[in-house]
Amino acid sequence: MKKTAIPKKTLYLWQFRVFLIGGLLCLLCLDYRKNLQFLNIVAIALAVLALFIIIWYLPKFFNGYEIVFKGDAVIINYGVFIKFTHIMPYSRLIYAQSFATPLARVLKITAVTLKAARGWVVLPELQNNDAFNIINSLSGEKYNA
Amino acid sequence: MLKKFKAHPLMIITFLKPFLIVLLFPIVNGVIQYIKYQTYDSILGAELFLFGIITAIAFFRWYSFSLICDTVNKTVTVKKGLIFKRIATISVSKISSVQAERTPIDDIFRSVTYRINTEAGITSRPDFEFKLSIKNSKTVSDLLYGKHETKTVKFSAIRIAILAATTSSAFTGIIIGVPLLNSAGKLLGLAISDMLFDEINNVSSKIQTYFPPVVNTISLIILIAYFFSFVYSFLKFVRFKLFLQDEKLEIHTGFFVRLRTAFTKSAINDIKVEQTPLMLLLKRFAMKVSVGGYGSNGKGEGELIIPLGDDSEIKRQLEDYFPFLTNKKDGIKATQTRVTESRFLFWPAIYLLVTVAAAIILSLLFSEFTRFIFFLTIIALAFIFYRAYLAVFEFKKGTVSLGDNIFCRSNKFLRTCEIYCPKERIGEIKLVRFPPDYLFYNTCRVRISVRSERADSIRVRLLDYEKVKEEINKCFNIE
Repeated sequence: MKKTAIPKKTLYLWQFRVFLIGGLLCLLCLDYRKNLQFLNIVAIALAVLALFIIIWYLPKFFNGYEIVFKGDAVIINYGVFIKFTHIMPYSRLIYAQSFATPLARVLKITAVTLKAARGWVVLPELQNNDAFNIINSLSGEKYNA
Repeated sequence: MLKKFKAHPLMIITFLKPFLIVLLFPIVNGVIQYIKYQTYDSILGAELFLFGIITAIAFFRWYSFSLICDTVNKTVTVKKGLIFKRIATISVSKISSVQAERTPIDDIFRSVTYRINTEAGITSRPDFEFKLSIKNSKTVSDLLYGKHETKTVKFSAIRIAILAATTSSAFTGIIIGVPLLNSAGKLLGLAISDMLFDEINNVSSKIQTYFPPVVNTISLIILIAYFFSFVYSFLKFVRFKLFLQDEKLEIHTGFFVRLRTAFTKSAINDIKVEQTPLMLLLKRFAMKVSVGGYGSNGKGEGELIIPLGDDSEIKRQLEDYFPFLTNKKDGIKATQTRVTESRFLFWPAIYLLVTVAAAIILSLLFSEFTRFIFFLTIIALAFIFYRAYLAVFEFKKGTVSLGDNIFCRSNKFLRTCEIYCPKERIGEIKLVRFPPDYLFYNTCRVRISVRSERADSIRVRLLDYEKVKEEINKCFNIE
């Protein structure tokens, strides 16, 4: 059995993304608040939601994220409010695809999508080495990193 | 050994295609206006700027694309995206099929649209689609499947024409023909469809038969639609060639748009042998393979391999090309008694009674439409009798054989069908029992689905329930 951890950098990256999107939305709301008064409340709600996600939800989500390579399957456990478990047998895996944004490339992390017939699982950004080990191992059917 | 391939520059145009009408045409218009009258629209500058940006994005998307074939590890890597990078690595054994499509424009630029299909990805869309030069596409195919001795199978134009005639239908003709007529009409600025309808009305009014003119009009429309479908089907298969290697099959089809589809024998999900009503008259069958994940442009996963052959020829070719799929075991059949036969014919008999009753009632109620009702009744009766033939066919020949390979024979709507499928490719076996099945006869209907994106399925009716369960348990080692 082999476990792969989600690096701290992934948490920071997602916190930055949420901060950026939340901040932009708040700024937009504040910009138009002169004409639409209710946007003040929307901006506050958005800011609170973004802070909640950044401070509580994302750390909890990534701490609980578990990728286990066990026997002939990859098992992925995640979820904060609702817990999910994905079990994907190697025999059903068709191919893997990595995805990296410019910021993720700077942080040397890459997201991986595992594609199976009629379904897929997206793994959040992993260390480049781990991600490419997973991708390369698929050609040899098993992950032996 | 790693071999890297860059995409063909024509891919830039492919990326630009969705924007051509909204951006390029107004620019060309503006430039022509400027040349002619020395004046230009103020919006032209903005359009040029936008077009420049979109072209730059298309250029970088093309530039960043690469295909890497690793002949040692037997993998293919597709890299795309300059800012948002995507890298996909696929084991060659997981590739269902590859397709190379050549349109007349591709011919001019010596390029092909290359598609890599797997069982993953979105239904009816290839997993990876890009442009390659003809030379590179051949090299990639050779690297993927290797170079082996090839046996070429060709079919005569007459055989293809018979295939087109037997597989065409008025319905397909309408689906193909109507949008084509509308597009052509818009392009030429003519109401072609109105002109055609006027002409049909004109011709049908001149034909004197027992039936009213509306029947002639309907018949003419059906004939024209059938003709459209025939021409389409004929052009699609006229250059049909089958290239056979030990492990690989390659199929060439198409007239204007030429399509090469290649897959390994191990990627085949199942093989279907079908017979349409017209094929029945000629005592011929068509053999198709079904490859998981294949199915671009809304097409199914099936690919024709033997256009038309008699029973012995199809069986011989199945033995020759796919000996690993044949099943010699005796299958489970419906009990050959008069009671079972009458159960198979129950629904056709009901349809017959309802049709005759409806025809009599309608004729009495609308006496002025008697001839038209008579015409519709003849059509309905022809359909019902054909369904009755299929019911008898299913009674006599319907079978399910469960072994290392699964073999099923039954009918699907208006055609008879045989499916050959390896046991491990079966997705689901469903046993359905209606009240007469469990109350009196202890029978069931068996539905077998193949595991694939657009699963093939077949159902065989009125088989012995206990026998089927026993065979399934034995076949799949179920305790």
